[in-house]
Amino acid sequence: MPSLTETFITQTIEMLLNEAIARDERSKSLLKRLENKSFEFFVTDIQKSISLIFLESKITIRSARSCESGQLPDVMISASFLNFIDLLLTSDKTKKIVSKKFELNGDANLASQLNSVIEKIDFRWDDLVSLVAGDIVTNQVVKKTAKINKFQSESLKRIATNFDDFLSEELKFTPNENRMEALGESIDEIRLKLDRIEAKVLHVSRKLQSKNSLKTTSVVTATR
Amino acid sequence: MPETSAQGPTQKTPDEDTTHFGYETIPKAEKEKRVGDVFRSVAARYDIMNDIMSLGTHRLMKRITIEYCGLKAGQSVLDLAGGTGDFSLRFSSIVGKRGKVVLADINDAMLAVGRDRIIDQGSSQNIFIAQVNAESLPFKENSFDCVCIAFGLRNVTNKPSALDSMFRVLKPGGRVLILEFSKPKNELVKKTYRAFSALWPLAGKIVADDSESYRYLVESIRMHPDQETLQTMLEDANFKECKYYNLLNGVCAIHIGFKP
Repeated sequence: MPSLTETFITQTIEMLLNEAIARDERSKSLLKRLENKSFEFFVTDIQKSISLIFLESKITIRSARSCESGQLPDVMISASFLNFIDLLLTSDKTKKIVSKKFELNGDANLASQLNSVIEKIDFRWDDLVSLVAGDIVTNQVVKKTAKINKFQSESLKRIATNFDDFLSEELKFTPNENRMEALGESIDEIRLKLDRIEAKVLHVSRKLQSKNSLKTTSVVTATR
Repeated sequence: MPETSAQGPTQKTPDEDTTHFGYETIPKAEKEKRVGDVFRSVAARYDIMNDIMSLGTHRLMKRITIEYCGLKAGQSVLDLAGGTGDFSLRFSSIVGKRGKVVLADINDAMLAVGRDRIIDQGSSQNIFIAQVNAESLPFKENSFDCVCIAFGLRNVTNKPSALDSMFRVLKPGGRVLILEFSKPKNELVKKTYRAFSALWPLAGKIVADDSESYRYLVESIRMHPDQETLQTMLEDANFKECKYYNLLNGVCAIHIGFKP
């Protein structure tokens, strides 16, 4: 049974999403493709689920499990919490979702359709913020967010460049494939030579042993 | 006014001809009229008072109840004691244009508020309004996929009759959902809730200029059967797989039963 807190959170998210959809005709038409369809995401390690139901170009979010509420979804995706996070961060979600880490029940095409719809939806979140905070505050928030985004992308670029430099420097000191092959061959040759020497030593020691045993036998016979 | 003692109000156990009206024991025939008067008096301010009395949590509880209704597009649902229509409006969007929602209440004043709200929100296409007595529902057998009664059962004079009636109008496989005040499990929660609910008549006086009706609400909540008793009543009415979920540690509870 979902708690009141969970219900409050899902209700707030649902309200914001539907407000954003209502203001965007493109999102509305995209959601029509999923009309009357329901999706349940079940997080196995915490035994919680979130369901998305698409009705009349609106999204309903539910936190009650389908087995409790008796409303079977069209698609049910089960995985651990970390796998769901991984899925959110990955770019090729369709490929990821068919991996062994996810259990998919229901219409797989519908799951890929949901993914493509979500990718195509582009919410104007600043419209929503301006409803609550007003135009002046929203303008400032948008500017700050743009700055943060710019800083973030520049930082990522800088890190990538630094990493490239590090790798190319390291590459100079790393032997290439031909040299590694030559080294391997030399090691093999040394191993063969060593084996040959070992065999020779064994041969000589056996000869010495047999000579010694012959000498002892002749001395014993002479004394008798 | 109820008789009170140091331990709290003294209550007579009702016999066959009498019933509870808050802490009072009154003739059964009188309860319907007196409850009707209470709700006629509070109808205009009912929703705002609910927000004050529950600190807004009644909206979340109703949302959870709807999650458990198991309704799909095209189905039919009876919103019993639906009064101001907030449940019916939510059901309306779930069952869609092909579905049917019946907003039913015994009280004309509450229904008038609900009807106006439904018309204002443009949802009248699949919501039908009926003034009915829950104890003898005037619908055909096997008519509804779901019957829902939220914060209404405690005001019904003859609860077993109402449950039998709900069972009759449900389709086989259909479910009944009862959202109602109940008994908190934790002693601290119980005491806090008791102290808080004692303020409701005062809030009623300030907001709706009617403390007596809210005194009745508080008393009726305290006289309402606890979770286990209500579950037994559901089972006695032939409902199967009966269960309940506590909300806010049992301040309220959702009871669910299925018609086999």
